[in-house]
Amino acid sequence: MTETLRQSVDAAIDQRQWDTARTRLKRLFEETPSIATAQFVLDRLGKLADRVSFIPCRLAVLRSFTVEPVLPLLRAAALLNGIELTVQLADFNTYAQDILNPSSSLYAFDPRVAILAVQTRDVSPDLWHRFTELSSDQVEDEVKRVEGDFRGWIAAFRSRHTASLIIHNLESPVMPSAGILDGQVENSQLEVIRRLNGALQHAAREYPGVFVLDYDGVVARFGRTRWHDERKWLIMRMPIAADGIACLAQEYLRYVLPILGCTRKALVMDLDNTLWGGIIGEDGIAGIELGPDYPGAAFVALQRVILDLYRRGIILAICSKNNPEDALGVLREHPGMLLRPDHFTVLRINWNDKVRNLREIAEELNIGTDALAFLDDNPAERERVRLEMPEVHVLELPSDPMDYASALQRCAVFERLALSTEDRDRGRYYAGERQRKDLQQSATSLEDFYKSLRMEVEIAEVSAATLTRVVQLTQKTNQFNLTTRRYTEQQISALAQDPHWRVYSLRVRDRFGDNGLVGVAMTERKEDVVEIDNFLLSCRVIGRTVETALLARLAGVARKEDAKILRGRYIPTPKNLPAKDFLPSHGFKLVAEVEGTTTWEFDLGGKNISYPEWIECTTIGGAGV
Amino acid sequence: MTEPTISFRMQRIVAEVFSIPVDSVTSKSSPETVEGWDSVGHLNLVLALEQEFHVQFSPDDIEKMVNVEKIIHALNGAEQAGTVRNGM
Repeated sequence: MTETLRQSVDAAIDQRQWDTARTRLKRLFEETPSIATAQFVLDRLGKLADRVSFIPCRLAVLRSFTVEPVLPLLRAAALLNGIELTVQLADFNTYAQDILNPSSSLYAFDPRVAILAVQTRDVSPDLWHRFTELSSDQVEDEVKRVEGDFRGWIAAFRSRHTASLIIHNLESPVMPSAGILDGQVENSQLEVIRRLNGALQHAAREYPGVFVLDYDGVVARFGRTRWHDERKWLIMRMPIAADGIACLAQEYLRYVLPILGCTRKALVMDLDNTLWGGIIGEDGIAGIELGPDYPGAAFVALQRVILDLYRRGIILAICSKNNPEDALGVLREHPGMLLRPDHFTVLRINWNDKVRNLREIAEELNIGTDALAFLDDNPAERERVRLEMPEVHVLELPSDPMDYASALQRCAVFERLALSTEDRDRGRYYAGERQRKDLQQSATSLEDFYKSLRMEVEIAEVSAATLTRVVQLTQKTNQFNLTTRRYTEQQISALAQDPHWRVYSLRVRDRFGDNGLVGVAMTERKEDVVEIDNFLLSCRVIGRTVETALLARLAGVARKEDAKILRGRYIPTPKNLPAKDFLPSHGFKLVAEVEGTTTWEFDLGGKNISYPEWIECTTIGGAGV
Repeated sequence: MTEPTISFRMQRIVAEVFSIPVDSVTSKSSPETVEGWDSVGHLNLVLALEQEFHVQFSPDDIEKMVNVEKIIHALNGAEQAGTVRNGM
């Protein structure tokens, strides 16, 4: 199988079918995530580098052990998800000085992401090797020391750099040094390691962009005994057995993808033999497998995972070849169903081609097809989507439905580092959107439609409460986005403190409900000029003139603060065409064009940008005029 | 399609780990003749072989695997010794 895939990659490259080559490489890597495959992927994708664009990302790895073999796997996995990593690997055990010294090579490298890969035996040899020698007080002192060290490193790193920091937590030993006695005493070895891990999480939560990676959990999932290779640890400081390496790379990927905004927004799923066992059109509602017992329990387990994703803000959609009334009957009435019609934003239950349905679903959701993931038990459908729509993430499913749930859980493309209120309420927003569309169709003119929506916007400067969502919007918004500059929590927090910078958020409500926080604008004062660094709007509210309201306010604030010129930039990407005419259509004049990037200026001495009269506006903090 | 032989699979792994063409790998390929076959490259190769063949090499094997011919030897030894990773 893998030999055939390898050959098909090279055949595709020879025939200049780049997308097919990428798709095959992705399958190959899913099939055998090994060092050899990773190097093969890196080599072949290197040949495609000029044809495909990747998001560059500098990654610093600080470590106490040999992580080199993990890196090709991580780089290959990232590349297959559109991210090109440049890795700086620190020397062994120099992490403390690298972090504490502001002029270290770590900060000179200016990473986007830094990983602190340490092990219990390195940060605390006493807790790992000499535990039975220690008195309870000594254990307590050691725990305090280790916690203090981590806190110091986190604080120092955060004060010196805005990169996201991922810290390994501490693993437990395979066997506690005192055997089963460990469980019978206060301050036992396993207990203090758990306590330290809890303290580490608390410390990380005090800072934006610091995340604790559950290394102990990774080891446990794989199996503690199998994880360790003491021979290679002793001769090469490589503690992880060959088969465990891919698990650690995958765990790193879970963080890298959301940090760079390379995650999926929607999960599109099949019904027959995916959400339930059997075929509803043939077996009928009483005949399908779905319930608490074998084999129906497999499908309930999968639905539970899907429901978890829904609560994480993933949009759900159905793409199924069925008679709509049969399928809807199950969704509405089957007692075993956890997912109900209301959980789904779009339903495509028909006999049309799935590729066509997927395109329509993306269009209806107003998101790119590259924001979709596709779940289908039928290998032929999966294959067709892979080849026709290589940008869609197609989940590979194991042959036994009992393994479906864990396959979906392992998938890294739905990871989120933070959850905003908007994420939790996403399903409701889309329900309001359907009602708006109905109203638009019945309104006689566009202006009537706007008026009848009874829109209210709230423009505010970013606060602790809105930070997560503001960052998320800069990360995920592709279409209505003037510059597509991505920011992290740390960067936005820093800019919000800077007197020259303003970071605004835009909230939109109308008669159909609260759309939540859907827009961001960032400006920088440069003498007489206010420069718009970033201006973006969630696709959810495009075409309702709220962008004009926000721009008019920016101009108003700039004028009030005696600026002469409001300057904006449009940096074209393959996706932000909807924002192209935004500045000129509001009276901005072209002043420069360099390699497609256009710079526009609005004379604040002239007439105002007219504020859309049908929108009521409230301002909070420095956003007032 | 027939199963590829062990020596072909090994040749392919050496080629992939060091990003060189498969047909340039010979029984005499070694750290002296292959660019990138340094200590990190050697560790990557050892782990890649362990992943492919589900064996675990001993420290002695790892030290002796200084060219392709000797790797085949070590591989046969490891398979015969049955040092398959299987936990406790």
